[in-house]
Amino acid sequence: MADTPNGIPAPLVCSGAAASLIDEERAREIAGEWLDGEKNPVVPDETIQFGKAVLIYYPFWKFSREDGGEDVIVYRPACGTLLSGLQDLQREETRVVPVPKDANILPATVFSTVYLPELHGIARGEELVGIPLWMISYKVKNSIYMMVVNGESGLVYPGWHPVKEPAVWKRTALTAFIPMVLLSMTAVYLSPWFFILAAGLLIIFLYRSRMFGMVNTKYLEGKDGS
Amino acid sequence: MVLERSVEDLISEIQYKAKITRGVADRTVRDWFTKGVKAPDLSREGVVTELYLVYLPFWRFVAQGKAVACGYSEYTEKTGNVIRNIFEELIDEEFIWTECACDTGKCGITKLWLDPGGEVPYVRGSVVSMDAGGSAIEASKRGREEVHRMIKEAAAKRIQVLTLEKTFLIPKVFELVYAPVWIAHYSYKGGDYTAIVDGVRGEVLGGTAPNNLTARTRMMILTFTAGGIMIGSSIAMLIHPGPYQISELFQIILLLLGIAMCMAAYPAFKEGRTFVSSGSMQHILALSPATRVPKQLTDNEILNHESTLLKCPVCGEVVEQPWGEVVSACKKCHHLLDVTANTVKLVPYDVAKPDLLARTAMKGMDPEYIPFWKFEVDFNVTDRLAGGETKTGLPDISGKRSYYICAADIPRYVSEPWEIDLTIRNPEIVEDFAGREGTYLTILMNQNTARKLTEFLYLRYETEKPGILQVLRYNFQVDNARILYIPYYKEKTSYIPGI
Ligand SMILES: [Zn+2]
Repeated sequence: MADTPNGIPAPLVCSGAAASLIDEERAREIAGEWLDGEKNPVVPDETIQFGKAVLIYYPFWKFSREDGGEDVIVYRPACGTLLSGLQDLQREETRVVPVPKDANILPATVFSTVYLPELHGIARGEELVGIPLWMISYKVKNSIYMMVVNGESGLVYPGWHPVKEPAVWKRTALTAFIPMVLLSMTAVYLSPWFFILAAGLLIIFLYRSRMFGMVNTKYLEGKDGS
Repeated sequence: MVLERSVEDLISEIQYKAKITRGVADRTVRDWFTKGVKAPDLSREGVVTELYLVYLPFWRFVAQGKAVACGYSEYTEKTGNVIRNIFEELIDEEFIWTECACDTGKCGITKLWLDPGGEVPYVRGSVVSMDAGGSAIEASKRGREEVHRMIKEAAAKRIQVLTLEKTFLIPKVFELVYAPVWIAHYSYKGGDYTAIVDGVRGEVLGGTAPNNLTARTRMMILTFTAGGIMIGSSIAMLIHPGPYQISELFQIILLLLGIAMCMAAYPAFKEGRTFVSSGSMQHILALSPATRVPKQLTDNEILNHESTLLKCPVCGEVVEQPWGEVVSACKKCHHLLDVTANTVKLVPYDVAKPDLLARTAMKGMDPEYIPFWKFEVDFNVTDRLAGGETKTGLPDISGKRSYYICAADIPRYVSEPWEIDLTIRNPEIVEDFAGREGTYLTILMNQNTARKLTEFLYLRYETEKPGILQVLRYNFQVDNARILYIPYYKEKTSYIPGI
């Protein structure tokens, strides 16, 4: 944040960028794998429709620090963002390449001084680096979601996504419905005491919903769910 | 207010100071986890993965709204009589419009939740902020339209049938306000969610959360058992009445009710995925911090760069539009200039001489010269109808006369009686050619706004007459705008007119 003679801060410009090693096709593959994967949060029987994918370079402050005899590198976003996963960006590669000419790079709007109070150790250097991020939109049912894939490392920052629920709604509805229909029919034909039985069953249902397979225990207790 | 030229580069940017620390924000989010119909184990299983402070930009437009609305509301009594209430409403209050200037996506924050007061200047780069996107000109237009609508709504609140309605608006401030929020990204059982905490007062403003699955399962079971009982027993009764003497119609209703209940409950409880969620993620690019759209120069302006400079029509000195709505004096030749978006107009002005009475009474005191817009107005009332007593001792101000609108930064409740007094009296003005030394107050209202206020002055005057105004039709013509500096003697907190 060097000041020009007029006292107007010079515009913050990235001195380099992380190389974009992942092309659009690969980024879409990674996104698809993540959504289909074991930890898959999406309701499985819904089809996922992929939309646009855009590569945007986000500016980051790269702080080189010496902390307790060790060299530490910390990355902090140099522009405001509501995306998740970017506050403490981890980067294994340290190489920086020139920013590609046609890169869609966001302007840096935050001075490095903003982050200084929270950093440890002795300052050894700071620079602005552009990190390529793939913004991939996808549609599940009628909602549109967005996922971010790091264009250098292929890491996924999922953000807001549809969530698979450990409940089996169809089974819940039928388990509650069918016995009640049968019980109340019997009650009308034979004796109203069967209504009391129905009430009792209802209480059992309410307290032991998991027992009747209403909640998918396999999902609740982990992947292998034995 | 002429914002058009200066908005893009000169718009004032202010910010609220963050008063909530990270620790407090963290505690607020954890408290929030335990409230509402969220997953019951959220406070145990929810892990805050990121918590950071960011400033969100908001456009804010503050304006004094003025309106006159007349009309009536009717209702029919039990006896069949139609009772008509007639109304005459006068609105004169401050209206505030705000709009989020960036896309907050799923977090769904669209309006500023903080009231004006306590802001400090915003220094670019000194805090982490979302960039304001879109055009300030467009935003100010939207704000103006919206405030007009708000004024109309306030004026016509009690009135069913409007017979007369006029709204006026005096712009006060158009600014970009940055408000601090703590963003908490957190995960819960494989899902990722976000909560937003107000950085000034420490309340949760919005966000997403997993909701209570157990509660929903139970609600589902409850409705389906009830539905099952209703359907089962009604079918049984329809086939074989048994000992129950219930009409068939009731049985069919019971059956249909049971089916309807199940059909409504199933999607409702199945879809209840999150606790709070609004906004959309449809504009993928809008999610990236947007850059402000700079003022567009026309081709002609680019070709002839000179033409974007505004010059004094008298001496040719380059003038700059000062911030706000002001008429200012040329630095070189001291003529009054009305600098608008694309033009510079010379404003004729006079200075009134304090009359003899005032000069002798206020001997040794120097008057302050307060600028007024003076218009030659011709009001022609073609139709007037008022309910109740209309005989009045107030003089008529229609027809040809001079109207006065105060242009200085003086509270409107102080200046409005002066305006009415001057407009009724239309005093003889003795011009002071000597160019008297003294305090000349700044002109903070431009001709257009003042011109509109002449109509309001008339309407307001009419509503002050006894009786309830219902219909007023008129045509009017405003000519010959000039500034008149009128001397006022300031005595403690009050002003005594010098003419
Ligand atoms: Zn001049």
